[in-house]
Amino acid sequence: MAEQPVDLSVLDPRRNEARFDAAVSRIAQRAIELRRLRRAVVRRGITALAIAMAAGLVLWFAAPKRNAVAPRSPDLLDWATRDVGANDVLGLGGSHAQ
Amino acid sequence: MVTPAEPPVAELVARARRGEPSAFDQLVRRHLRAAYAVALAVLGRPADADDVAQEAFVAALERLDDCREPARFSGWLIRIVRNRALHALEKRKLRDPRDDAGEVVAPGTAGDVVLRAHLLAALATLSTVQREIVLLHDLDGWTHAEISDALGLTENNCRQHLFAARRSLRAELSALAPEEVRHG
Repeated sequence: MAEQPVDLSVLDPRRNEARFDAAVSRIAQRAIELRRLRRAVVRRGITALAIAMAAGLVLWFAAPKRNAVAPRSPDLLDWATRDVGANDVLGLGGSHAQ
Repeated sequence: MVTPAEPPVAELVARARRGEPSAFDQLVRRHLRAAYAVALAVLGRPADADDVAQEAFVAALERLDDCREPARFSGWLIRIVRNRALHALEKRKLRDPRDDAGEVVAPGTAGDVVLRAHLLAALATLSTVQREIVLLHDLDGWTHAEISDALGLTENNCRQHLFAARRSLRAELSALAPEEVRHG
């Protein structure tokens, strides 16, 4: 007896064919709309990203070039450890390595 | 589940991914009853099952590109429906801790309403997996291979669950309404 199917047809959503068809159309329609929306968001996101990257590159290349290490005036440490004259450290000019 | 005239599900998935509205329609028509069956197995209330099955279907179709094996769309969909139904069940229990999954009576003939109530009461005595199997098999005509693939069971396990579920259902139904026990 347990080999035979149980009649569950009273629970079948297809018993009401009109209601079932309406549900099918509603689900398909909503899914199509949401997919379109999602694709539009992704497309616009990619476009915005591309524009931002292009603007970034333009700004990068348009910016004035700077030297990697800015020249600095000698200080006391240079005077103490290297061959730098006191006048150079004090900003008085004059000869190097007196 | 699929008649020879119907295109294979993988083809429908591919067409739907390309945005063909008719493919969406066919996918829904072919799988909505199975989605409803699984939602009903978890939730126990036809009205809730209806809502969850529809919402889960929309969500699944919206992210159809995530379905890595289009030929196994059914199993992928069923897992989404089951997860959504479990989530809805948790929310329902939080709202009403004494929730007994009682049926909200749907319109129909008096006999239908009574039989439906008896069937739901009998189904409520089964485990969730037994309900899923008996509803997918006896309501939507899934094969054991399809069910075991979708639910992650062996076919033998699936057969045992179905056998036990039918036996329990018939026993419950005969206790509830001896004259209304059906044998299919």
